[in-house]
Amino acid sequence: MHTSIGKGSIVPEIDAETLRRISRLAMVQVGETEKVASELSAILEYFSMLSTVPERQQPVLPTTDADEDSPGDQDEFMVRLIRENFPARSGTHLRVPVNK
Amino acid sequence: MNQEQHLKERFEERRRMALTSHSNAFITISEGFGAITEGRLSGVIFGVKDNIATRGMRLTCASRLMKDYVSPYSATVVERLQRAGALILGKNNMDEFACGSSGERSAFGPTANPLFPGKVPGGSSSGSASAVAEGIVDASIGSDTGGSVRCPSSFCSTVGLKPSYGRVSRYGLVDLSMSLESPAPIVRYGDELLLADIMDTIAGEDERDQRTLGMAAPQFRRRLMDAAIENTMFAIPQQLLASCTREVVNEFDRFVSFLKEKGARLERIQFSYLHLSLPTYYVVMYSEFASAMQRYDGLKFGTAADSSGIESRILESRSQLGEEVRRRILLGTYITSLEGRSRWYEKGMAAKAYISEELASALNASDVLLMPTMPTTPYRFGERLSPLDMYSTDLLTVPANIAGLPSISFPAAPGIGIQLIGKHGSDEFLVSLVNSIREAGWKWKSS
Repeated sequence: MHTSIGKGSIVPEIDAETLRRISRLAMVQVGETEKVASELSAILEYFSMLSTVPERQQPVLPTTDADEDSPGDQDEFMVRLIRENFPARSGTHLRVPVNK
Repeated sequence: MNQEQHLKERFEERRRMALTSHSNAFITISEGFGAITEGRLSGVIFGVKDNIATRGMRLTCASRLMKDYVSPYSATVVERLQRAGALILGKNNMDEFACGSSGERSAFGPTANPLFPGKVPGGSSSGSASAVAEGIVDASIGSDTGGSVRCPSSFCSTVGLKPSYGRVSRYGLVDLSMSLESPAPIVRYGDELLLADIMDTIAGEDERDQRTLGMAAPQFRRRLMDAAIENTMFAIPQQLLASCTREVVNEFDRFVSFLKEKGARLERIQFSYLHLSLPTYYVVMYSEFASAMQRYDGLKFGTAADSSGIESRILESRSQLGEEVRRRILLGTYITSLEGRSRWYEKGMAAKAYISEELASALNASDVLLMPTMPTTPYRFGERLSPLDMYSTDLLTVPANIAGLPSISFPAAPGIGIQLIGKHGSDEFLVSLVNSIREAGWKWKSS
């Protein structure tokens, strides 16, 4: 499907089928699928300048193991990388019992 | 009249102001306060943004989904304020789950700008800045993920400090994007000593937020007089000024002339990656936000729906989320999916690293970066409802969050702020510098 966004006719990043799939994953209901897909695509199109960013060696994404409270010494290097590049770990965000 | 009676009367007077104000700056107003504690902030009256847990008070995040939720514990910042004698007047209005830059996106209605009737106060800590500007509270604690304290400080002409990432514990802050955000105080211009006392109270290590571990102990009051304009090198990111309106640039130039007159050293510099700040910020934030929002399903958090079946109950509960919140969840889910990850998330993380390095390098050659806080003056309600129109106003504030750097906004003119960004950990210096700028005679209004 092609749609007119911004200056020209482009292939949208998110089409209706993709939106249906991600809305199921996200557990978020979407009303007018075509309209929302077009709107989300327009936002990503505006952000497309990110494609000019040179490749860069990225640290490994934080995994469940790395999120353990007591990483072993052998993991010190990875833990440092993760701490420098990713958010703090357990206990730093809202973790409270369900309100009674 | 003894001190306790005096405090009670003062608190009651502010409470009446909050109840009768037309600004809608509060979602919940306290009935009173408990025992009086002697401390650094004895009797100082605070507002707390409604995404920061305060025991026994509602924690709505300005969302229908959380409208009846009462927090069973207090955030570290709230605990520390209360221990130092602060009095919490209530919970401030905000954009829902901090998703907004205008103060228009609250399920409890928009917040007004006390300086500019009919115009937005800025967001997402809209009520925090509005209540300080109106004089209902002495200070407030908001949160800043991409400018959420500096933007409303600019529009309401208050002083907002976004601390270095890790200087202030995020424990008890409902996260929008946990790698970018921090609780952040707001005071009136001229109250730098109070700001120093607030930071000396809330900053510092907290074992419940490991990113605070190893950070320097706060010394804001002790170092309040350290900075001097004439000893400071200011670097101006020239290309960012092109995004500002003429009115903003004029006021910024007036401030630059003032600095020159006072003997400051200034240079204009160019960056290679800074123009990518906006997409970088949003890509990282969408991803973290979509993950953080998974727990608001009507089962763990949020108002439970009546539908039968778990999936339909979750969908119905989450249908209470506002349009912008749902938009960010959808985009974050896509960006972190297999097909979106390499094109968006990995590029965003790479850009985050490049921008951070570039800012660090610029701050090795200068003491602070200097720029306007917002590219525009406050705009009319409804004027920037499209997402891209709203996002574009964050251009000048997001770089500090991307790099985890401290940043402070103070007034240049009514509705226009000046922003300083410092090296990581130089929060004390920024507060001291604003103090020295005021003492050197900088005024944001004629009277």
